[in-house]
Amino acid sequence: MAGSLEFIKSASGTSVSTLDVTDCFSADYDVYKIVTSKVDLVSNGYQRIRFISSGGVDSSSVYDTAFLELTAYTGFSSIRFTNDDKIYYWNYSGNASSHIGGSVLYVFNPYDSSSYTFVQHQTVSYENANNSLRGDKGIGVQKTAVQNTGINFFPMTGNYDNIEVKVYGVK
Amino acid sequence: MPIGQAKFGLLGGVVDPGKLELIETKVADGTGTILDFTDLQESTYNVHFMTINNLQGIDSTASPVYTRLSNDGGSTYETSNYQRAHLLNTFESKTTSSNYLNTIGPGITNKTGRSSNCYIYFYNLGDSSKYSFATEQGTAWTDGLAYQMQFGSSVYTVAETINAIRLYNASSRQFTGDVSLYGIAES
Repeated sequence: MAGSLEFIKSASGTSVSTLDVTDCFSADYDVYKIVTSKVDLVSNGYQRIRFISSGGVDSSSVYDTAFLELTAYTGFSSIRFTNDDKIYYWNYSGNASSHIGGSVLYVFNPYDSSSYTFVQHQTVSYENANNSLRGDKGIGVQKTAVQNTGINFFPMTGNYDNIEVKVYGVK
Repeated sequence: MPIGQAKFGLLGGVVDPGKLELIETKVADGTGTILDFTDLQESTYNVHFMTINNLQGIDSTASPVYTRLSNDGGSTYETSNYQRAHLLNTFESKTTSSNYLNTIGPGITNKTGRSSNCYIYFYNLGDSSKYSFATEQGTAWTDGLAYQMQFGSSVYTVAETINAIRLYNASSRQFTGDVSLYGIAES
């Protein structure tokens, strides 16, 4: 039904350095909603994404990122990267199991081979180093017009103890 | 490449994990100052989604509407251990010591058309080993005069099971609005 949110796929991993969610983008949808929860990292640091096409995970320097980091204990920070090899989407700074929050990521036009792929996201977690709430809100783009079929998640350092991802299409 | 195990679930099998399911819709009809959700089904859903539509006061005096969480089914609501970080247009609103979780409407009034609207994601409410988190985005009127966008994050820094959510007017003034709570199915 037009306007509906339709579940496409879920993926999860335990003790993995990266998670590939394959074959989740198709001609059926232009807009995708990806909900990430139950994330547990071995080490502190950012989580990042790349897109997957028929050529595999795109790790070329075609990604731009801009986001605002919101913390409860200090001033907010604007961070940006251009021509990077990944999109930063979640500054998760705490690795205690109780400090895991969640994230919603929207992806626009990933399967359209005539369009760049755009994302926007909003996340929340807890920074144990400063005993503070931490959130992010940001945008990103893959600056190549390519038909993506999947998405790759990977942390800045170490492994995911656990990660769970659900992908929806906006019909 | 993954060095551990990864698993995938596809639509069309016996179960339909990930489905967005309506738990409850409540209408604030202008006769009360609180709106409680006490059936979170928190053992079923790890992620909750709440929409707040057309939130307004019943008179011209501006008043704020906030949220709080309960660990006893709504008998009492927690008044400490919250942190918030929100951007209100260009203003940074942040604190590591708050007595509420979210700001739904910073200054609602009965001025025609000037309602506050937003959505909130809640994470881990039913997990007794994790803090409860929320992200929010919306638009609102301050004192019924200035329109603003607002977004941000919140956390309740006690690892315990949360089983009720309260929307309340901090000035004890009546309000109107439609609020729906959804869950994202796990299995």
